[in-house]
Amino acid sequence: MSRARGSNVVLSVLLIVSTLIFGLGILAVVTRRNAIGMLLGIELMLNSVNLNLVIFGRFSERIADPLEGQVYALFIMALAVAEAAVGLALILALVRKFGSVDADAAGTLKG
Amino acid sequence: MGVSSGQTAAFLVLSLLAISGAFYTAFANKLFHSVLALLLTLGSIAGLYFMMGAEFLGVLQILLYMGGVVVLFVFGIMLTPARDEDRLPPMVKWHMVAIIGVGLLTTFLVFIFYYYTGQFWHEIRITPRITYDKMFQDISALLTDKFLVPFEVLSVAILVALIGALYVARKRE
Repeated sequence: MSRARGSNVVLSVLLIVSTLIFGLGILAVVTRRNAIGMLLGIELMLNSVNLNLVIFGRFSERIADPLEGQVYALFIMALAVAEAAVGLALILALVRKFGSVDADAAGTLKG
Repeated sequence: MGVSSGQTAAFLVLSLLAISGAFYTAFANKLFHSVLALLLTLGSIAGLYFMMGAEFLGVLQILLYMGGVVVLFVFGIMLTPARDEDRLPPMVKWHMVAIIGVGLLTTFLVFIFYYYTGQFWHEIRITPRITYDKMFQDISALLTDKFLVPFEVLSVAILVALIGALYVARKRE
């Protein structure tokens, strides 16, 4: 019983950690004006989601195979890497076009 | 998992490192410091994976994120014109709004998690320590059996992303 209690504490701590990392990622995306800083925030958010998937796969008994959470996290990880590559390519194109990494500089569509 | 006090302490230390790294990533003035703090966060999360028995993901996290994505970001920073002063004075008011809003959202989520770990988890029950004899075989069996279609779609998506990145970043005449 005390064992389960201890696991429960660890579970809450881990969930709170992933939530805080997610919130800080949102803050980085919202407050950074540098486009690369925004990408860093997106990476933070994806990582916290991965952490959450692994936590639930590890601690929940309802999932048939405990490895499934890890497989989902694996997919997200691969997509995150592809996303980072595409994002940096877009930022390079942005710099060529507008001469700045400032996200506010790309205001061509602004009415 | 057999939760000894040493393990709990390691969990707490890794969690603190991850949170402080994420904090510095969001608020560092110099972008390069921000990337280094992201490295710290990624490493702590890899450590948490190891402690949760997800060694495969921990190794991948170190290889892909700490080895690949961070290098990509450093190259991105070096290839773009320097602009360290991220936050100009006129934006500060809206930054406060953003910080308060995200703070409220995060508190709400933490409250939900904390509340439900009291009730919900009795129902879900915590699995005892799982020992994987052949985790790598099991994961590859899952990938080639149950998750075969998403796996193939994922490889096509990565191929398209790579070609698209090259196309977008090419030099135009």
